[in-house]
Amino acid sequence: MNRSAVLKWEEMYDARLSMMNRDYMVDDWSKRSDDYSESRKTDNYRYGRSVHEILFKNGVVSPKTRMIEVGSGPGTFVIPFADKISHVTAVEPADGMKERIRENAKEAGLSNFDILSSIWQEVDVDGLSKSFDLTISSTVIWMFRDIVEQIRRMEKVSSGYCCLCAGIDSKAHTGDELWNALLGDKPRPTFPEYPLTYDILYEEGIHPEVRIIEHESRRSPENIMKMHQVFYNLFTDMNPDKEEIIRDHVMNHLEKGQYIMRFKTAIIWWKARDM
Amino acid sequence: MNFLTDYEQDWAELCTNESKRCSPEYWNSRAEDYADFIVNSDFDHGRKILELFKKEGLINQDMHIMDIGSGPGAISIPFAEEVRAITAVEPADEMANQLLKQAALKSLSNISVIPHIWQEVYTGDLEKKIDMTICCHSVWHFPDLFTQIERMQQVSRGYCVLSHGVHTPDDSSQLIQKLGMPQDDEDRFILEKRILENRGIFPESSILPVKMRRTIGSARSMLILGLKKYREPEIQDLNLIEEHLMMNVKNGMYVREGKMGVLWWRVS
Repeated sequence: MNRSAVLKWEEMYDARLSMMNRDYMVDDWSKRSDDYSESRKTDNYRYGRSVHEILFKNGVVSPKTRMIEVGSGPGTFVIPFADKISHVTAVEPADGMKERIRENAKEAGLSNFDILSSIWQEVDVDGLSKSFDLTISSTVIWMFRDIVEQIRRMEKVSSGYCCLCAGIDSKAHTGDELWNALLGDKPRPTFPEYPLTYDILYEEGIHPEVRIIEHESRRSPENIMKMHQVFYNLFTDMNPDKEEIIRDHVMNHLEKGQYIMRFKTAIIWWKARDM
Repeated sequence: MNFLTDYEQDWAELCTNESKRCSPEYWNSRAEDYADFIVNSDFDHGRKILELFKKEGLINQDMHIMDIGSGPGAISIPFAEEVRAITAVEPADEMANQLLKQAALKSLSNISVIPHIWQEVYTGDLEKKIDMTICCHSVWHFPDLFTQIERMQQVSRGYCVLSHGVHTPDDSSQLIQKLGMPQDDEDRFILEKRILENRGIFPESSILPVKMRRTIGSARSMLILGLKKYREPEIQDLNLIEEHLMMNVKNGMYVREGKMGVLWWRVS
Protein backbone atom coordinates (compact mmCIF):
# COMPACT_ATOMS: atom_id res chain seq x y z
CA MET A 1 0.00 0.00 0.00
CA ASN A 2 1.22 3.49 -0.81
CA ARG A 3 1.79 5.28 2.50
CA SER A 4 3.08 8.57 1.16
CA ALA A 5 0.38 10.68 2.81
CA VAL A 6 1.12 9.20 6.24
CA LEU A 7 4.83 9.83 5.79
CA LYS A 8 4.12 13.41 4.79
CA TRP A 9 1.92 13.80 7.86
CA GLU A 10 4.70 12.54 10.12
CA GLU A 11 7.25 14.82 8.47
CA MET A 12 5.02 17.86 9.00
CA TYR A 13 4.33 16.86 12.58
CA ASP A 14 8.06 16.47 13.31
CA ALA A 15 8.88 19.74 11.55
CA ARG A 16 6.35 21.60 13.71
CA LEU A 17 7.75 20.10 16.91
CA SER A 18 11.30 20.95 15.91
CA MET A 19 10.29 24.64 15.63
CA MET A 20 8.80 24.75 19.10
CA ASN A 21 10.38 25.45 22.48
CA ARG A 22 8.09 22.71 23.76
CA ASP A 23 4.91 20.93 22.62
CA TYR A 24 1.47 21.91 23.84
CA MET A 25 0.56 20.67 27.33
CA VAL A 26 -2.93 20.11 28.70
CA ASP A 27 -2.59 23.24 30.86
CA ASP A 28 -2.09 25.38 27.74
CA TRP A 29 -5.61 24.48 26.72
CA SER A 30 -6.94 25.44 30.15
CA LYS A 31 -5.34 28.86 29.65
CA ARG A 32 -7.09 29.03 26.25
CA SER A 33 -10.51 28.04 27.58
CA ASP A 34 -11.85 31.59 28.07
CA ASP A 35 -10.91 32.87 24.64
CA TYR A 36 -12.03 29.66 22.95
CA SER A 37 -15.36 29.70 24.74
CA GLU A 38 -15.94 33.34 23.85
CA SER A 39 -15.20 32.65 20.18
CA ARG A 40 -17.93 30.01 20.07
CA LYS A 41 -20.53 31.93 22.00
CA THR A 42 -20.24 35.23 20.11
CA ASP A 43 -22.02 33.67 17.13
CA ASN A 44 -24.13 31.19 19.09
CA TYR A 45 -22.04 28.14 18.13
CA ARG A 46 -22.58 28.73 14.42
CA TYR A 47 -19.67 26.52 13.38
CA GLY A 48 -21.03 23.53 15.32
CA ARG A 49 -24.55 24.20 14.08
CA SER A 50 -23.34 24.25 10.46
CA VAL A 51 -21.57 20.91 10.92
CA HIS A 52 -24.68 19.41 12.51
CA GLU A 53 -26.80 20.70 9.65
CA ILE A 54 -24.59 19.03 7.03
CA LEU A 55 -24.46 15.73 8.90
CA PHE A 56 -28.22 15.78 9.48
CA LYS A 57 -28.94 16.50 5.81
CA ASN A 58 -26.82 13.51 4.84
CA GLY A 59 -28.39 11.09 7.31
CA VAL A 60 -25.29 10.85 9.52
CA VAL A 61 -27.02 12.14 12.66
CA SER A 62 -30.61 11.97 13.86
CA PRO A 63 -32.34 12.85 17.14
CA LYS A 64 -31.47 9.31 18.34
CA THR A 65 -27.71 9.65 17.77
CA ARG A 66 -25.26 9.00 20.61
CA MET A 67 -22.04 10.82 19.79
CA ILE A 68 -18.52 10.84 21.23
CA GLU A 69 -16.34 13.85 20.55
CA VAL A 70 -12.56 13.67 20.60
CA GLY A 71 -11.26 16.90 22.15
CA SER A 72 -14.35 18.93 22.96
CA GLY A 73 -12.75 22.20 23.96
CA PRO A 74 -15.30 24.57 25.51
CA GLY A 75 -18.27 22.76 23.95
CA THR A 76 -17.90 23.81 20.31
CA PHE A 77 -19.90 20.75 19.26
CA VAL A 78 -21.25 19.59 22.64
CA ILE A 79 -23.68 22.50 22.91
CA PRO A 80 -25.14 22.59 19.35
CA PHE A 81 -25.23 18.80 19.01
CA ALA A 82 -26.67 18.03 22.48
CA ASP A 83 -29.49 20.37 21.54
CA LYS A 84 -30.36 18.14 18.57
CA ILE A 85 -29.29 14.55 19.36
CA SER A 86 -29.73 12.01 22.15
CA HIS A 87 -26.40 12.20 24.01
CA VAL A 88 -22.86 13.56 23.72
CA THR A 89 -19.78 12.15 25.43
CA ALA A 90 -17.04 14.78 25.49
CA VAL A 91 -13.46 13.52 25.69
CA GLU A 92 -11.56 16.46 27.16
CA PRO A 93 -8.53 16.49 29.44
CA ALA A 94 -8.13 20.23 30.22
CA ASP A 95 -9.77 21.39 33.48
CA GLY A 96 -10.48 24.85 32.08
CA MET A 97 -12.24 23.45 29.04
CA LYS A 98 -14.28 21.03 31.15
CA GLU A 99 -15.45 23.92 33.33
CA ARG A 100 -16.45 25.88 30.23
CA ILE A 101 -18.42 22.89 28.86
CA ARG A 102 -20.36 22.61 32.12
CA GLU A 103 -21.01 26.37 32.30
CA ASN A 104 -22.02 26.61 28.66
CA ALA A 105 -24.30 23.57 28.88
CA LYS A 106 -25.97 24.97 31.99
CA GLU A 107 -26.48 28.28 30.23
CA ALA A 108 -28.06 26.44 27.28
CA GLY A 109 -30.20 24.27 29.57
CA LEU A 110 -28.57 21.03 28.39
CA SER A 111 -27.83 18.00 30.55
CA ASN A 112 -27.66 15.13 28.03
CA PHE A 113 -23.87 14.93 28.01
CA ASP A 114 -21.02 13.54 30.06
CA ILE A 115 -17.32 14.28 30.14
CA LEU A 116 -14.63 11.66 29.84
CA SER A 117 -11.67 13.38 31.48
CA SER A 118 -8.73 12.12 29.46
CA ILE A 119 -6.61 12.70 26.43
CA TRP A 120 -8.02 10.64 23.56
CA GLN A 121 -4.92 8.48 23.23
CA GLU A 122 -5.53 7.09 26.74
CA VAL A 123 -9.23 6.35 26.39
CA ASP A 124 -9.99 2.62 26.70
CA VAL A 125 -11.54 2.07 23.28
CA ASP A 126 -11.92 -1.68 23.84
CA GLY A 127 -14.25 -0.96 26.73
CA LEU A 128 -16.25 1.46 24.54
CA SER A 129 -16.28 -0.68 21.41
CA LYS A 130 -19.23 0.27 19.17
CA SER A 131 -20.88 2.25 22.00
CA PHE A 132 -21.64 5.30 19.85
CA ASP A 133 -23.33 6.09 16.54
CA LEU A 134 -20.84 8.81 15.63
CA THR A 135 -17.27 9.70 16.57
CA ILE A 136 -16.45 13.30 15.73
CA SER A 137 -13.40 15.49 16.13
CA SER A 138 -12.63 19.05 15.13
CA THR A 139 -9.29 20.82 14.92
CA VAL A 140 -7.63 18.20 17.11
CA ILE A 141 -6.06 15.53 14.92
CA TRP A 142 -2.96 17.60 14.18
CA MET A 143 -1.92 16.62 17.73
CA PHE A 144 -1.66 12.94 16.73
CA ARG A 145 1.58 11.83 15.15
CA ASP A 146 0.20 8.27 14.94
CA ILE A 147 -2.75 9.51 12.91
CA VAL A 148 -3.80 6.16 11.42
CA GLU A 149 -3.84 4.48 14.83
CA GLN A 150 -5.98 7.25 16.30
CA ILE A 151 -8.40 7.16 13.36
CA ARG A 152 -8.77 3.42 13.80
CA ARG A 153 -9.50 3.95 17.50
CA MET A 154 -12.19 6.47 16.54
CA GLU A 155 -13.72 3.87 14.23
CA LYS A 156 -13.56 1.24 16.95
CA VAL A 157 -15.95 3.08 19.27
CA SER A 158 -18.49 3.88 16.54
CA SER A 159 -21.09 1.52 15.14
CA GLY A 160 -22.10 4.18 12.61
CA TYR A 161 -19.95 6.98 11.27
CA CYS A 162 -16.75 8.88 11.91
CA CYS A 163 -16.37 12.56 11.12
CA LEU A 164 -13.28 14.74 11.08
CA CYS A 165 -13.56 18.51 10.75
CA ALA A 166 -10.22 19.63 9.41
CA GLY A 167 -8.93 23.11 8.74
CA ILE A 168 -7.87 24.12 5.24
CA ASP A 169 -4.70 26.21 5.04
CA SER A 170 -4.39 25.99 8.80
CA LYS A 171 -1.30 28.20 8.85
CA ALA A 172 -3.46 31.17 8.03
CA HIS A 173 -4.97 31.84 11.43
CA THR A 174 -1.60 32.52 13.06
CA GLY A 175 -1.12 35.41 10.61
CA ASP A 176 2.03 36.14 8.63
CA GLU A 177 2.31 39.69 9.84
CA LEU A 178 2.39 38.95 13.56
CA TRP A 179 4.53 35.85 13.13
CA ASN A 180 7.16 37.81 11.21
CA ALA A 181 7.08 40.69 13.71
CA LEU A 182 7.79 38.30 16.58
CA LEU A 183 9.95 35.64 14.95
CA GLY A 184 11.49 37.28 11.90
CA ASP A 185 12.11 34.83 9.08
CA LYS A 186 11.82 31.70 11.23
CA PRO A 187 9.54 29.37 9.25
CA ARG A 188 5.96 29.15 10.40
CA PRO A 189 4.57 25.87 11.65
CA THR A 190 2.08 23.90 9.61
CA PHE A 191 -0.84 22.11 11.21
CA PRO A 192 -1.49 19.40 8.65
CA GLU A 193 -5.20 18.82 8.45
CA TYR A 194 -6.90 19.06 5.05
CA PRO A 195 -6.43 17.78 2.35
CA LEU A 196 -3.73 15.54 3.80
CA THR A 197 -6.31 13.91 6.09
CA TYR A 198 -8.32 12.89 3.04
CA ASP A 199 -5.28 11.37 1.35
CA ILE A 200 -4.49 9.36 4.49
CA LEU A 201 -8.04 8.01 4.62
CA TYR A 202 -7.93 7.25 0.90
CA GLU A 203 -4.68 5.33 1.33
CA GLU A 204 -6.45 3.38 4.07
CA GLY A 205 -9.08 2.37 1.51
CA ILE A 206 -11.71 4.73 2.93
CA HIS A 207 -13.74 6.81 0.49
CA PRO A 208 -15.14 9.66 2.58
CA GLU A 209 -17.64 12.38 1.78
CA VAL A 210 -16.39 15.96 1.97
CA ARG A 211 -18.26 19.23 2.33
CA ILE A 212 -16.55 22.57 2.81
CA ILE A 213 -17.80 25.33 5.10
CA GLU A 214 -16.60 28.81 5.84
CA HIS A 215 -16.91 30.22 9.33
CA GLU A 216 -15.35 32.77 11.62
CA SER A 217 -14.51 33.40 15.24
CA ARG A 218 -14.76 36.68 17.12
CA ARG A 219 -12.81 37.51 20.25
CA SER A 220 -12.42 40.52 22.51
CA PRO A 221 -9.00 42.26 22.43
CA GLU A 222 -8.12 40.86 25.88
CA ASN A 223 -8.91 37.29 24.88
CA ILE A 224 -7.13 37.40 21.53
CA MET A 225 -4.04 38.81 23.22
CA LYS A 226 -4.13 35.94 25.72
CA MET A 227 -4.56 33.48 22.84
CA HIS A 228 -1.54 34.89 20.98
CA GLN A 229 0.57 34.91 24.14
CA VAL A 230 -0.12 31.23 24.84
CA PHE A 231 0.60 30.34 21.20
CA TYR A 232 3.78 32.37 20.75
CA ASN A 233 5.16 31.30 24.11
CA LEU A 234 5.55 27.84 22.54
CA PHE A 235 7.86 29.24 19.85
CA THR A 236 9.75 32.10 21.51
CA ASP A 237 10.55 33.45 24.95
CA MET A 238 7.98 36.12 25.58
CA ASN A 239 8.99 39.47 27.10
CA PRO A 240 7.31 42.89 27.56
CA ASP A 241 8.50 44.08 24.13
CA LYS A 242 6.95 41.09 22.39
CA GLU A 243 3.76 41.48 24.39
CA GLU A 244 3.65 45.07 23.15
CA ILE A 245 4.00 43.86 19.54
CA ILE A 246 1.03 41.55 20.10
CA ARG A 247 -0.99 44.35 21.68
CA ASP A 248 -0.26 46.72 18.76
CA HIS A 249 -1.13 44.03 16.23
CA VAL A 250 -4.43 43.25 17.92
CA MET A 251 -5.44 46.89 18.36
CA ASN A 252 -4.66 47.59 14.69
CA HIS A 253 -6.79 44.70 13.45
CA LEU A 254 -10.02 45.14 15.36
CA GLU A 255 -13.31 45.22 13.47
CA LYS A 256 -15.98 47.00 15.51
CA GLY A 257 -14.04 46.23 18.67
CA GLN A 258 -13.60 42.52 17.91
CA TYR A 259 -10.75 40.47 16.46
CA ILE A 260 -12.18 38.29 13.71
CA MET A 261 -10.52 35.21 12.25
CA ARG A 262 -11.95 33.55 9.17
CA PHE A 263 -11.66 29.84 8.46
CA LYS A 264 -12.42 27.28 5.81
CA THR A 265 -13.02 23.77 7.14
CA ALA A 266 -13.55 20.40 5.47
CA ILE A 267 -16.24 18.22 7.00
CA ILE A 268 -15.12 14.66 6.24
CA TRP A 269 -17.20 11.64 7.13
CA TRP A 270 -17.34 7.94 6.38
CA LYS A 271 -18.93 4.72 7.61
CA ALA A 272 -16.77 3.35 10.42
CA ARG A 273 -15.14 0.05 9.60
CA ASP A 274 -15.23 -2.92 11.97
CA MET A 275 -12.01 -2.68 13.95
CA MET B 1 0.42 30.60 -12.55
CA ASN B 2 2.77 29.41 -15.27
CA PHE B 3 4.23 26.27 -13.82
CA LEU B 4 3.23 22.64 -13.92
CA THR B 5 3.09 21.04 -10.53
CA ASP B 6 4.28 17.46 -10.14
CA TYR B 7 0.68 16.27 -10.15
CA GLU B 8 -0.06 18.11 -13.38
CA GLN B 9 3.07 16.66 -14.93
CA ASP B 10 1.96 13.17 -13.86
CA TRP B 11 -1.47 13.84 -15.33
CA ALA B 12 -0.06 15.09 -18.64
CA GLU B 13 2.16 12.02 -18.98
CA LEU B 14 -0.74 9.75 -18.13
CA CYS B 15 -3.19 11.27 -20.58
CA THR B 16 -1.18 12.37 -23.61
CA ASN B 17 -0.96 9.01 -25.38
CA GLU B 18 -4.38 7.79 -24.31
CA SER B 19 -6.13 10.93 -25.48
CA LYS B 20 -4.43 10.66 -28.90
CA ARG B 21 -5.79 7.12 -29.29
CA CYS B 22 -9.34 8.27 -28.58
CA SER B 23 -10.18 10.64 -31.43
CA PRO B 24 -13.77 11.58 -32.37
CA GLU B 25 -13.50 8.79 -35.02
CA TYR B 26 -12.81 6.27 -32.26
CA TRP B 27 -15.85 7.52 -30.33
CA ASN B 28 -17.98 7.34 -33.48
CA SER B 29 -17.12 3.65 -33.65
CA ARG B 30 -18.04 3.29 -29.97
CA ALA B 31 -21.31 5.24 -30.11
CA GLU B 32 -23.62 2.25 -30.45
CA ASP B 33 -22.10 0.14 -27.68
CA TYR B 34 -21.73 3.15 -25.41
CA ALA B 35 -25.38 4.14 -25.88
CA ASP B 36 -26.37 0.54 -25.11
CA PHE B 37 -24.43 0.81 -21.82
CA ILE B 38 -25.94 4.15 -20.83
CA VAL B 39 -29.52 3.22 -21.73
CA ASN B 40 -29.42 -0.27 -20.21
CA SER B 41 -27.92 1.23 -17.04
CA ASP B 42 -30.84 3.70 -17.04
CA PHE B 43 -28.36 6.61 -17.05
CA ASP B 44 -27.19 5.35 -13.67
CA HIS B 45 -24.24 7.59 -12.89
CA GLY B 46 -25.94 10.70 -14.29
CA ARG B 47 -29.03 10.07 -12.20
CA LYS B 48 -26.93 9.51 -9.08
CA ILE B 49 -24.98 12.73 -9.61
CA LEU B 50 -28.27 14.56 -10.19
CA GLU B 51 -29.74 13.14 -6.96
CA LEU B 52 -26.60 14.14 -5.05
CA PHE B 53 -26.80 17.70 -6.34
CA LYS B 54 -30.53 17.93 -5.65
CA LYS B 55 -29.86 16.91 -2.05
CA GLU B 56 -27.12 19.53 -1.86
CA GLY B 57 -29.57 22.17 -3.10
CA LEU B 58 -27.53 22.91 -6.23
CA ILE B 59 -30.24 22.24 -8.83
CA ASN B 60 -33.17 24.40 -9.90
CA GLN B 61 -35.37 24.39 -12.97
CA ASP B 62 -33.96 27.63 -14.41
CA MET B 63 -30.46 26.28 -14.77
CA HIS B 64 -28.45 26.06 -17.97
CA ILE B 65 -25.98 23.20 -17.77
CA MET B 66 -23.02 22.42 -20.00
CA ASP B 67 -22.06 18.76 -20.36
CA ILE B 68 -18.52 18.45 -21.74
CA GLY B 69 -17.97 15.20 -23.63
CA SER B 70 -21.61 14.25 -23.31
CA GLY B 71 -21.47 11.00 -25.24
CA PRO B 72 -24.97 9.53 -25.62
CA GLY B 73 -26.33 11.46 -22.66
CA ALA B 74 -25.42 9.84 -19.35
CA ILE B 75 -25.48 13.29 -17.76
CA SER B 76 -27.45 15.32 -20.32
CA ILE B 77 -30.60 13.20 -20.34
CA PRO B 78 -31.31 12.98 -16.58
CA PHE B 79 -30.33 16.62 -16.05
CA ALA B 80 -32.47 17.75 -19.01
CA GLU B 81 -35.48 16.32 -17.19
CA GLU B 82 -34.88 18.78 -14.32
CA VAL B 83 -33.41 22.00 -15.75
CA ARG B 84 -34.15 24.62 -18.40
CA ALA B 85 -31.37 23.91 -20.90
CA ILE B 86 -28.46 21.63 -21.63
CA THR B 87 -25.57 22.44 -23.92
CA ALA B 88 -23.76 19.24 -24.77
CA VAL B 89 -20.22 19.53 -26.12
CA GLU B 90 -19.69 16.42 -28.24
CA PRO B 91 -17.36 16.17 -31.25
CA ALA B 92 -18.31 12.63 -32.33
CA ASP B 93 -21.31 12.83 -34.69
CA GLU B 94 -22.54 9.35 -33.89
CA MET B 95 -22.44 10.05 -30.14
CA ALA B 96 -24.38 13.28 -30.68
CA ASN B 97 -26.92 11.38 -32.80
CA GLN B 98 -27.37 8.86 -30.00
CA LEU B 99 -27.85 11.70 -27.52
CA LEU B 100 -30.51 13.38 -29.67
CA LYS B 101 -32.22 10.03 -30.26
CA GLN B 102 -32.49 9.47 -26.50
CA ALA B 103 -33.74 13.04 -26.04
CA ALA B 104 -36.44 12.47 -28.70
CA LEU B 105 -37.50 9.20 -27.09
CA LYS B 106 -38.02 11.08 -23.83
CA SER B 107 -39.63 14.10 -25.55
CA LEU B 108 -36.85 16.38 -24.33
CA SER B 109 -36.35 19.43 -26.53
CA ASN B 110 -34.00 21.43 -24.30
CA ILE B 111 -30.71 19.90 -25.43
CA SER B 112 -28.44 21.51 -27.99
CA VAL B 113 -25.09 20.22 -29.19
CA ILE B 114 -21.80 22.00 -29.83
CA PRO B 115 -20.11 19.59 -32.29
CA HIS B 116 -16.50 20.26 -31.31
CA ILE B 117 -13.87 19.02 -28.96
CA TRP B 118 -13.99 21.12 -25.79
CA GLN B 119 -10.47 22.48 -26.33
CA GLU B 120 -11.66 24.14 -29.56
CA VAL B 121 -14.87 25.65 -28.20
CA TYR B 122 -14.58 29.45 -28.19
CA THR B 123 -15.36 30.29 -24.58
CA GLY B 124 -15.40 34.06 -25.09
CA ASP B 125 -19.01 33.98 -26.31
CA LEU B 126 -20.07 31.78 -23.40
CA GLU B 127 -18.42 33.67 -20.58
CA LYS B 128 -20.45 33.30 -17.35
CA LYS B 129 -23.52 32.16 -19.31
CA ILE B 130 -23.67 28.66 -17.82
CA ASP B 131 -24.86 27.75 -14.32
CA MET B 132 -23.01 24.47 -14.01
CA THR B 133 -20.24 23.05 -16.18
CA ILE B 134 -19.88 19.28 -15.89
CA CYS B 135 -17.16 17.08 -17.30
CA CYS B 136 -17.86 13.45 -16.53
CA HIS B 137 -15.60 10.60 -17.67
CA SER B 138 -13.94 12.87 -20.22
CA VAL B 139 -11.21 14.84 -18.46
CA TRP B 140 -8.57 12.30 -19.42
CA HIS B 141 -8.81 13.72 -22.94
CA PHE B 142 -7.08 16.84 -21.59
CA PRO B 143 -3.35 16.50 -20.90
CA ASP B 144 -3.42 20.23 -20.06
CA LEU B 145 -6.03 19.61 -17.40
CA PHE B 146 -5.83 22.85 -15.46
CA THR B 147 -6.03 24.96 -18.61
CA GLN B 148 -9.27 23.21 -19.49
CA ILE B 149 -10.55 23.58 -15.93
CA GLU B 150 -9.90 27.32 -16.15
CA ARG B 151 -11.96 27.38 -19.36
CA MET B 152 -14.76 25.52 -17.57
CA GLN B 153 -14.61 28.16 -14.85
CA GLN B 154 -14.65 30.92 -17.43
CA VAL B 155 -18.03 29.86 -18.83
CA SER B 156 -19.62 29.07 -15.48
CA ARG B 157 -21.27 31.62 -13.22
CA GLY B 158 -22.17 28.91 -10.70
CA TYR B 159 -20.48 25.56 -10.28
CA CYS B 160 -17.91 23.36 -11.95
CA VAL B 161 -18.02 19.59 -11.67
CA LEU B 162 -15.50 16.89 -12.51
CA SER B 163 -16.31 13.24 -12.14
CA HIS B 164 -14.34 10.15 -12.81
CA GLY B 165 -14.29 6.48 -11.98
CA VAL B 166 -12.41 5.59 -8.81
CA HIS B 167 -9.77 2.98 -9.47
CA THR B 168 -10.92 -0.40 -8.20
CA PRO B 169 -8.94 -3.46 -9.30
CA ASP B 170 -11.19 -6.19 -10.68
CA ASP B 171 -11.01 -9.04 -13.18
CA SER B 172 -11.02 -6.58 -16.10
CA SER B 173 -7.44 -5.85 -15.01
CA GLN B 174 -6.64 -9.55 -15.48
CA LEU B 175 -8.16 -9.50 -18.97
CA ILE B 176 -6.16 -6.42 -19.90
CA GLN B 177 -3.01 -8.12 -18.66
CA LYS B 178 -3.78 -11.28 -20.63
CA LEU B 179 -4.40 -9.24 -23.78
CA GLY B 180 -1.07 -7.51 -23.29
CA MET B 181 -2.65 -4.07 -23.15
CA PRO B 182 -1.02 -1.42 -20.95
CA GLN B 183 -2.29 -1.66 -17.38
CA ASP B 184 -3.77 1.57 -16.12
CA ASP B 185 -3.46 1.52 -12.34
CA GLU B 186 -3.52 5.27 -11.91
CA ASP B 187 -6.41 6.66 -9.92
CA ARG B 188 -7.36 9.71 -11.93
CA PHE B 189 -9.99 10.81 -9.45
CA ILE B 190 -7.51 11.41 -6.63
CA LEU B 191 -5.05 12.96 -9.08
CA GLU B 192 -7.71 15.44 -10.29
CA LYS B 193 -8.51 16.31 -6.68
CA ARG B 194 -4.86 16.95 -5.84
CA ILE B 195 -4.38 19.09 -8.95
CA LEU B 196 -7.31 21.28 -7.94
CA GLU B 197 -6.10 21.58 -4.35
CA ASN B 198 -2.57 22.43 -5.42
CA ARG B 199 -4.09 25.27 -7.41
CA GLY B 200 -5.98 26.51 -4.35
CA ILE B 201 -9.38 25.07 -5.29
CA PHE B 202 -10.82 22.89 -2.53
CA PRO B 203 -13.78 21.04 -4.04
CA GLU B 204 -16.49 19.22 -2.17
CA SER B 205 -16.51 15.55 -2.99
CA SER B 206 -18.56 12.41 -2.95
CA ILE B 207 -17.91 8.86 -4.09
CA LEU B 208 -20.96 7.12 -5.49
CA PRO B 209 -21.60 3.44 -6.14
CA VAL B 210 -22.37 3.04 -9.85
CA LYS B 211 -23.44 0.20 -12.07
CA MET B 212 -22.57 -0.58 -15.68
CA ARG B 213 -25.20 -2.77 -17.32
CA ARG B 214 -25.02 -3.54 -21.03
CA THR B 215 -25.85 -6.28 -23.52
CA ILE B 216 -23.21 -8.88 -24.24
CA GLY B 217 -22.86 -7.52 -27.78
CA SER B 218 -22.18 -4.04 -26.43
CA ALA B 219 -19.59 -5.33 -23.95
CA ARG B 220 -17.92 -7.37 -26.72
CA SER B 221 -17.75 -4.32 -28.95
CA MET B 222 -16.29 -2.21 -26.11
CA LEU B 223 -13.54 -4.74 -25.43
CA ILE B 224 -12.64 -5.40 -29.06
CA LEU B 225 -12.58 -1.71 -30.00
CA GLY B 226 -10.57 -1.00 -26.86
CA LEU B 227 -7.97 -3.55 -27.96
CA LYS B 228 -7.98 -2.17 -31.49
CA LYS B 229 -6.61 1.11 -30.10
CA TYR B 230 -3.35 -0.83 -29.69
CA ARG B 231 -3.43 -3.64 -32.25
CA GLU B 232 -5.65 -5.88 -34.37
CA PRO B 233 -7.26 -8.64 -32.24
CA GLU B 234 -6.24 -12.24 -32.96
CA ILE B 235 -8.32 -15.37 -32.45
CA GLN B 236 -6.86 -16.08 -29.01
CA ASP B 237 -7.70 -12.51 -27.96
CA LEU B 238 -11.30 -13.02 -29.04
CA ASN B 239 -11.43 -16.25 -27.04
CA LEU B 240 -10.14 -14.48 -23.93
CA ILE B 241 -12.76 -11.77 -24.39
CA GLU B 242 -15.54 -14.36 -24.74
CA GLU B 243 -14.34 -16.14 -21.61
CA HIS B 244 -14.37 -12.85 -19.67
CA LEU B 245 -17.83 -11.99 -20.97
CA MET B 246 -19.28 -15.34 -19.95
CA MET B 247 -17.90 -14.92 -16.43
CA ASN B 248 -19.58 -11.54 -16.03
CA VAL B 249 -23.02 -12.10 -17.49
CA LYS B 250 -26.02 -11.91 -15.17
CA ASN B 251 -29.51 -12.48 -16.58
CA GLY B 252 -28.21 -12.02 -20.09
CA MET B 253 -26.50 -8.70 -19.33
CA TYR B 254 -22.86 -7.80 -18.73
CA VAL B 255 -22.85 -6.12 -15.33
CA ARG B 256 -20.02 -4.37 -13.51
CA GLU B 257 -20.16 -2.46 -10.27
CA GLY B 258 -17.79 0.36 -9.53
CA LYS B 259 -17.41 3.74 -7.89
CA MET B 260 -17.50 7.21 -9.31
CA GLY B 261 -15.84 10.17 -7.63
CA VAL B 262 -17.53 13.55 -8.00
CA LEU B 263 -15.80 16.87 -7.29
CA TRP B 264 -17.66 20.16 -7.34
CA TRP B 265 -16.92 23.72 -6.40
CA ARG B 266 -18.44 27.16 -6.68
CA VAL B 267 -16.68 29.37 -9.17
CA SER B 268 -15.42 32.52 -7.51
